[in-house]
Amino acid sequence: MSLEQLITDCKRQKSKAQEALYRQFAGTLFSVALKYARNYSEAEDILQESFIIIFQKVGQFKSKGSFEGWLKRIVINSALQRYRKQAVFEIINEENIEEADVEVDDDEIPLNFLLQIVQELPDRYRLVFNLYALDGYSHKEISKMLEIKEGTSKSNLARARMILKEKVVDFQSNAHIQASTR
Amino acid sequence: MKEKKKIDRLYQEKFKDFTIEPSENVWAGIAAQQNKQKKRIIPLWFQLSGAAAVLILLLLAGTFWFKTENKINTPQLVNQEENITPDSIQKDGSEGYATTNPESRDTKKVATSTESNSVKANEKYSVEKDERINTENESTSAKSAVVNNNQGFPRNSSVVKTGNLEGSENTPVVNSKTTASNTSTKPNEALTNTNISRKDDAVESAVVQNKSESSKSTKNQALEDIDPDALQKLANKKTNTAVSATEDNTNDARFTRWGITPMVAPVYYDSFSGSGISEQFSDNNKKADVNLSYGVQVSYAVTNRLTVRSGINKVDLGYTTEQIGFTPSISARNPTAMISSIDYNENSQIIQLDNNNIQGLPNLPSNQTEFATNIVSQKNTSLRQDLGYIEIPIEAEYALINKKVGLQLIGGISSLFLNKNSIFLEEEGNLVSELGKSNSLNNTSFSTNVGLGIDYKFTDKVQFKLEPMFKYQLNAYTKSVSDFKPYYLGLYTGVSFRF
Repeated sequence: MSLEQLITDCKRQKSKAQEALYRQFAGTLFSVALKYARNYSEAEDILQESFIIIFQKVGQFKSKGSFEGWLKRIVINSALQRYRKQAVFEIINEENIEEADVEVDDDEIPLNFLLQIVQELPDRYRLVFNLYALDGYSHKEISKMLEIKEGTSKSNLARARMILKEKVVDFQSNAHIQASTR
Repeated sequence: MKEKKKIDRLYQEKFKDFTIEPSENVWAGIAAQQNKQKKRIIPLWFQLSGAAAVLILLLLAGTFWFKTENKINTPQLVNQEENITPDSIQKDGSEGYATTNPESRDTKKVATSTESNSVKANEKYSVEKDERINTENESTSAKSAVVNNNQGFPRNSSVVKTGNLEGSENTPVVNSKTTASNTSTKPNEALTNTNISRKDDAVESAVVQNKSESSKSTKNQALEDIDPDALQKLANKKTNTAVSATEDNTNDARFTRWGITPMVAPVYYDSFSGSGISEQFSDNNKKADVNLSYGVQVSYAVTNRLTVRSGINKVDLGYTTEQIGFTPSISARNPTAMISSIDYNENSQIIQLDNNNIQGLPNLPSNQTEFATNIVSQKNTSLRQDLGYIEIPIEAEYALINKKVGLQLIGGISSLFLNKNSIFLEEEGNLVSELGKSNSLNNTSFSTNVGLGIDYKFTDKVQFKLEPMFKYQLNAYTKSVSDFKPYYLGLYTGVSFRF
């Protein structure tokens, strides 16, 4: 069944089409949800909410842009809905921090670890980092989406990078120690 | 190979092709939500229909109530006639043989003319009095008057019948036919019972009687003329009316249509197949719990044999799935370890459940089998699922035997509204932890019910009931869990009050 047909059937609220749509996109969208969520279980919740919204609003999808992009935006929005309002202790540091560089061996750092440390970030940092670094939103867009100042978005991003870098470096040095003691 | 990378770049590269399938319970949750949205119409409709059913029942009850009130009038008249017959019989007896046999109604077929007269008179008066408004009182008074007349004559009970001058006047007329009667006490009672207004009536009726007698109203006359035949007929008639009256009486007793029965039952929850928690536990041993159900039942007898009933019950159900292993899992939310049908509690997410039923894991490598056996030998852990429902049954019962001890066939359906839902982990029969609740239970479900009812009637109004019932749940679980087919057995006992 073509994607168009699937979308049409979903617009008609056919449950088989809905399940097929879910099967086709759940993996991709769950990975998005995982990055934006605090943990696995909340990612599942976000994914579930997202699909319910998707099935409700699929009628509003105009076949102009990418359907997958539309789906992703819904997932991201669901995540933002969930975490945006949660207060974060703000340290607004407007000074520009250089983007952090890390030294890495390719394939040395497992994806699970990277995911875990992103999830461990404070909500705001995580959202900003994901939006900016992984999903290509500008600070201007982010500031609107999160109802924050652009400067806040920038400093949040810098903080997030710092934290992530530290953890990656730690992880690598631990790995080296383990490797040398082995 | 080592290289310097910006952290953004690192993430972008790593996550470029990152996809991970979520656990199956996400889809189960979505499907459940979708179903809820689609089926929201049905439960609402069902609730409305429930309300409508109650309304209809009330309306029916109302109409039947009024009908029975209407009915009351006729049987009462009959009753009174019946009441009178023994009296008049007594008179007959006393008259004919000077023996008062209140019980020997039937033997009074040999009744004499007075009887026929009195009966005729009764009928006539009641007919005539129908023209007046308050029929009941009058008919009674008519009878009492007649009794009065009939009895008044012999000896002077006129003392009691103060002011019943006409009656006393009347006496000689009737008296002439009746020889004597010693049963003055009863009529007196009857008389004293009748209040003043009735006495007035009685007077009137007496007048009428006088008139009819004196003016030789055709019927009376005719009757008197054709004495022997008429006697026989009358006797028959009387026995008939007597019989019909008693029948009516019994009918009346049976037509206590409404019943209310507080009931309590031990219920035993079990299933034909599958597991309500996860497919992987389908073949595990399961132990059904015996729980309690209680509630109130309201019944309405449509006919002597057919009764419809409804009510409200609280039902607690539970069962345990044995041969479960559990290990505290370090990484919270290891997706493969979670059972998708359980919504875990926050603090129980670190518990990882396994199946220790080795037969249930056919493809287990041998070393793992050993491992699993080890666990089995170590622990005797089980999962307990507790459920609670509010049950609203709609059932019909058909009486096979309708005696002092009755036997009924019962069938119907129940709507079950979920109000308790939890899954516990148990070790050696001790509660370890509440894991969470099942997300695959329907909030509204139905069961089909069949059973036998045995009752023992202490009186017409109060009876003891014993009902073994089998209730098969139709859609307790959403399809996402294995084909679990639960049912429950209950032995319902209660005392029914009919009114």
